[in-house]
Amino acid sequence: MNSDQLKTFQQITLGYFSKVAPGDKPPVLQEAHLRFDSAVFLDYTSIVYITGAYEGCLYISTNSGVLEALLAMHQEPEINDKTRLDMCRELSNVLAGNASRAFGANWTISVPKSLTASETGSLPLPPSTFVMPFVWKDMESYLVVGLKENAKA
Amino acid sequence: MNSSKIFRNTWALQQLPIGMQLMSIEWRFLICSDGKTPIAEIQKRLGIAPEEGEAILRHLCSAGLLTETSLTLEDFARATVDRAQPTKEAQTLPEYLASAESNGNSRAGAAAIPAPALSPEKTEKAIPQFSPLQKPTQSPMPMSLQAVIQFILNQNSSDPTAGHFATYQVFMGIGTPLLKRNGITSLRFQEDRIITDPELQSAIIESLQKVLKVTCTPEMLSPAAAAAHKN
Repeated sequence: MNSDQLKTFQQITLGYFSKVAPGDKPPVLQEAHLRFDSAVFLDYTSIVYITGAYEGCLYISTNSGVLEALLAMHQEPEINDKTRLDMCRELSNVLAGNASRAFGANWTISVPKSLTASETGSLPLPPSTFVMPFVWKDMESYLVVGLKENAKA
Repeated sequence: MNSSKIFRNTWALQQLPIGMQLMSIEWRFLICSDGKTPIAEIQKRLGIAPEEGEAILRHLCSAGLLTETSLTLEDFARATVDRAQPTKEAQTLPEYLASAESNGNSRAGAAAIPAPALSPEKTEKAIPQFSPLQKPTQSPMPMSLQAVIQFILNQNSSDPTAGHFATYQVFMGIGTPLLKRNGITSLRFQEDRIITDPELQSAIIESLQKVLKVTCTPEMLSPAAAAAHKN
């Protein structure tokens, strides 16, 4: 993985929000930071695992408000736990597609998973993560890359 | 790597961070490193080649999970008992230890004797002058975390995202237990702190050179370097 691939991944992932709400202010990327103790999660998380020169995961973690705003953009009249999780699943599919597009053929990308906050505790994650917060509709979400050396590579 | 060296866990197993992941062979190596058993014996017990053992050892040391153990003269002498060959002539204790050490090290496939720092000239001195290996008492040059960050960002000065990601790659190559032992649980790019732990300093320089493929000296990462960048 190199920084150009990462930037492509960032752009197309944030581009999804701009595309869904073309009339709104696009998401704004905040300064990244690194975490070495525990990963950061909000209410809902869409995650894919990747294997290549490194192994690890990519995920988006958002709060309910972001998913509700996306549901509204999709003209979904019902807002409840089920539709929020449906929206999270859609975000997971977007994430998996973007990962394939950005990182190309040298990476194996898993089937995406959609999780609520209570389910993230048991996720196997690399010990260090690269956290890229972004703000959309005044709400903060996280785009996260977690990698470690691939022992098999 | 001298296969007679002995390593011990730097953390009690129950104190290791929850969620820390190692390969099965690394866990086995870590558990066997009890501060008494030489590396050669551990490799033999686990059925692994010396090269593989060295790679595992390097990884566990850079992760801050293992550290080399100093031996007392008594420990060293006890370790020779099963290996020393009979001689026809009487020997002083240093002569006996030197011959037992060379005999243990020459036995193919056998675990080597864990030798403390007994150089030939030391073995000729009186026994009371012997002292086990000590860690160097001289403090290393302090390292500034901000100088490390700036050094990495400067390699990618036209592209902040590339610089940030390179910083992640450098720190990803350092064991999180070692970082956490030094109070580093997260890192923001404006942050600074002084790093005095020589193990962490070495791990940072090693990872930095590996990721960026540039040579880096401790002076380049000193607080003075960070201050110079600010100015």
